Amino acid sequence: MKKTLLFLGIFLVLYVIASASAFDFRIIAPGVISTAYSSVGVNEDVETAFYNPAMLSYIKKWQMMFSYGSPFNLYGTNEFVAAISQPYSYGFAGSLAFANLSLSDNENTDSRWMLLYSLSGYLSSFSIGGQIGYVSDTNDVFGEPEQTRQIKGDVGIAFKDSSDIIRVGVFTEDLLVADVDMEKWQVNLVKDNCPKVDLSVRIGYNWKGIGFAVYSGIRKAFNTVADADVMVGGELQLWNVSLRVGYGVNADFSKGLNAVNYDTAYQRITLGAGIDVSNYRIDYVYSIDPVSLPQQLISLKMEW
Amino acid sequence: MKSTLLLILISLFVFTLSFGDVIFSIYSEGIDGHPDFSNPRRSFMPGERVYFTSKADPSISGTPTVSILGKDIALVDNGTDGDLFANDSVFTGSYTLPATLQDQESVDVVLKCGGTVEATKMILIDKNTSANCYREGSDNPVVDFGEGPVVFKFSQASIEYIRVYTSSNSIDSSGVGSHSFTFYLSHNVTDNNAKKIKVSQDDIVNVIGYSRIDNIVSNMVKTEVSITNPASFTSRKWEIHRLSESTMKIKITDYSDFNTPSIDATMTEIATETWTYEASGCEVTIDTSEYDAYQKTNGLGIALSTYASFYTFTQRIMADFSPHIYDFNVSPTLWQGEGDVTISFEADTYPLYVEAVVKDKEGNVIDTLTENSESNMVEMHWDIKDKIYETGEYSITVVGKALDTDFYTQLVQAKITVSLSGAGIVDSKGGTVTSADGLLKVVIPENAVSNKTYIQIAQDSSIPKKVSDAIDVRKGYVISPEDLALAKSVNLIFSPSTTSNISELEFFYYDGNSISEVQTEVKSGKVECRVFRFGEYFIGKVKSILVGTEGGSVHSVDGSLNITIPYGALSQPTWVTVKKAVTPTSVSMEKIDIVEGYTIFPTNTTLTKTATLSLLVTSGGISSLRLFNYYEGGYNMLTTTVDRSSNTISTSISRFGTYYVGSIVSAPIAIEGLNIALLSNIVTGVSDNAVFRLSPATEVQRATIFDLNGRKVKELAKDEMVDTLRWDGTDFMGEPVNSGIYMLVIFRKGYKPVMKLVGVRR
Repeated sequence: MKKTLLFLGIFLVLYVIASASAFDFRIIAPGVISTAYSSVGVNEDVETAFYNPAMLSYIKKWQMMFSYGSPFNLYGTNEFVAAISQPYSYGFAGSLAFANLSLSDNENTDSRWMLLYSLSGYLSSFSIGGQIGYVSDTNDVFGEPEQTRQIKGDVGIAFKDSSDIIRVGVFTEDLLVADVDMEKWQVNLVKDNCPKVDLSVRIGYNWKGIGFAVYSGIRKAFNTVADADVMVGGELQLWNVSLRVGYGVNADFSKGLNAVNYDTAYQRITLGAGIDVSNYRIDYVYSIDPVSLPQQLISLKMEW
Repeated sequence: MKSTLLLILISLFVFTLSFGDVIFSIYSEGIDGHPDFSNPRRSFMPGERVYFTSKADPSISGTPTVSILGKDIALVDNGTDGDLFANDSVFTGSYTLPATLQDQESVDVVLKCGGTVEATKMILIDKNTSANCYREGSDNPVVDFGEGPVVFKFSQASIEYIRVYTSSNSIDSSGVGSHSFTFYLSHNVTDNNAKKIKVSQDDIVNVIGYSRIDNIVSNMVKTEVSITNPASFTSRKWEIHRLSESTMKIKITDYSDFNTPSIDATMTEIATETWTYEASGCEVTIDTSEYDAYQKTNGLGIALSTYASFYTFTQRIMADFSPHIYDFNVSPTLWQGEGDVTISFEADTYPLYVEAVVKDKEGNVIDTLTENSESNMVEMHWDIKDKIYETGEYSITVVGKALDTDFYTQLVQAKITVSLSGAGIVDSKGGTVTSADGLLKVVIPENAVSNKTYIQIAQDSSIPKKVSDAIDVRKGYVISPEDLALAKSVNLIFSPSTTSNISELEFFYYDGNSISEVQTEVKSGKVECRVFRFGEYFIGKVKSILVGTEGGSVHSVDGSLNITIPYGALSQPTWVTVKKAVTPTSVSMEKIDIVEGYTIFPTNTTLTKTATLSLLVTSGGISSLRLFNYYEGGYNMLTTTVDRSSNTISTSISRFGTYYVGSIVSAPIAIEGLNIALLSNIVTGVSDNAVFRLSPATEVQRATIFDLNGRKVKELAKDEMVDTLRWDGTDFMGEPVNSGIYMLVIFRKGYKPVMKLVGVRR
């Protein structure tokens, strides 16, 4: 115990600035992706454990999800995801999430995993949440296998009216990221880190098992480039079947709409479906991307 | 100032809009069978050769043809028949006027393009035998005048009477009494008192009159006076002075149009009798013997004096409001790399908008100069540098436009010869540029440069200290433009004036901060190297360092390789030299990828203690680099220490010789039928490249770098045959990407995409 405290103490004392960037780790949840990420801040199931912690407060049951697949349909890329969320009780809701992405090109490998712990609670009519994560990356791309580690912290806030017509969610990605140097026992705040803020709005209505929802979202990275992600999505629920569609684009919108034509990192058209059978749910997404890589994911969720 | 600017703007606008015309000009013959551009004329002698030029807006199609006196003359733009330059869009032709043309005759000249009449002009035949019209202050008679004064001069006698008229207007003046008369052409009014006659463009103006000759007195005793030019005999006045008894005959034949002379005055001593006759086309004979009164007077004879009646004159001029360019001059006509080219001329009107177009022999427009002149003395200075890069002949075509009337001047042309030394222009076809001293040749292969580029080789007279400390410099050159992107390597060939010690010579590149050796080959008395950039190059040899038995350190000229020789390693003081080695081509690229090598001279010198050889690595991928030596016909990998904190790799050596740095190349791994060998899959720093070799070369639909979120970072190839892929670690905006792991994904038709991991570390 003393050793652990000493370790933590050293971690906290040796808090210096480092230059790096946060690990890429975003392609995880089919439900969110199927709306082209437009629902990422207001998603009300266990998938939000990877995104907006504030939405955890609205989940009414225990939920768990698993997903396994090749996120880019590329040989050598595999992803495994698992998450569990605890419904709001005793004044808080929480989740624990794990994701692993491994890549291999037969010569080099990169394996990274992430563990996220999130908590949320109500503040007035809003839900607020915080999230702390630990990310590890091991690769041999630079020669001998080397492992690097990061810890990160993010926050979120969400609002939902009593009839669930309007939901608004805002959360950060990579708000604070620090490298963990196990050799020197240092935590180095990443000075060149590029935080992002996601804003999602959902307007929806449900009547006797038939419902619809439209989503819109903006994701802005606080870098020197004036680009942004703009997403829209829709969802149609027919009793136990959900059909989703989304469109997202990343461009430097300061150049006007023409920027979409040539300064685009991605344009994503997504189609997704989910089906509830008893307490199980299967979500599937296929993302057509004329600029970047297509994605295809499937997940299994359960609740009790 | 505002009005001037407005005028300039309006003029530019007007000029641009109205340039969809044809500029048709007429000239006399100048030197070398070309039009006399400097001296515009509208009057010609019978039998004289007349030149025409036509410059048409591109919208006007068809070969230009000139119709004159029933003849059709096709104008050419092929450098013949007076055409100064082929392909300069100025068409030229000539025609010799018939010798039978009469004085003051007007001849229509019609320009047609593709059969359509585009312009009509007129020339006047003027033998210049009697009278002439002049511009004010000028001594050269002309026939075309714009609005303003016309000075009519009659040198033989003072003008008695003059009449100026067109087909619809006239002014008259009598009793002028001097040798010149000034009248004015006017756009608007005819005013006899102001001597103004109203004219329109190309109106023919007739000037007629008669003059009186004083003091031409003949002893008329038995003198017979004949009127030799009855055609011009329109009126006359006679005075007969009886001086002595004599007989004077003045014949008048065919005097039906005359009043019969009556000589009935009584003349006793000297008497004067005057007759005035009005006639045309006749001969007059007066037999004074009929007049007895004269014969009775002793000691007197008869003298005859005439007043101008025999000197009537007729002159035709033309109203021409076009501005004209005179004394056109371009200087220098041989440009050798220094100074501006001056284009100067005098115009007979202003303000004048002037446009000068410079073309090369292929007809390509090199430059266009414009000027709004507020003076009739126009001088344009053309900064030719950076405009013409190639030795050769160029045309300068100048046209002006009067801003008040919108009339064009005649077109004038000049030839300029450019002679460049130590420079040249190269385009995608490649070429060779030679230094002014003839010693250095820069051979640019095909497709090395994409655009037409001016390449200059300047001799570098100032040698930086850093260079002179490291090298015995033979010659230095600066090849520019230094920032030119070369898609292929360029061959530098130095042919020294003396071949002594030539084998030691090398090329060195100096970037203003550090100097580096360039892999050089010496063959056939020439020093050659291949480079991927221009800049400051020196030819010389590496200086040697004397290292004694106490040891010391020696480094390469670029400072990246350092050898530390300990005390006692050398048995005797030795001159040590470190030179870059030729990268071997015999090494199988499947095994070792040699980055560079160095040779330590004198080779095969054995050290009694090991020296430390350390190399600073700036190209990235230090983790995979190893040191090798070439000894006894083979490559041996040496125990290499990698220090990533100082970016150096080092080893111990026990003899001088050649040492290489390189990496063991991974065997190509086949994925989806595609062999991909990694030369380097990491980017470190900001000037590194990740390099993948595809074997065999493969038709790639797309080869794209993605981040691990699947977002496109940069496209490296698209729809092309590829054997090597390079990524410099930047995104599609050209910005360096963050450190991290990225994916190179190669898409091929009929195959699944292939992914390779790439690392970036800043």
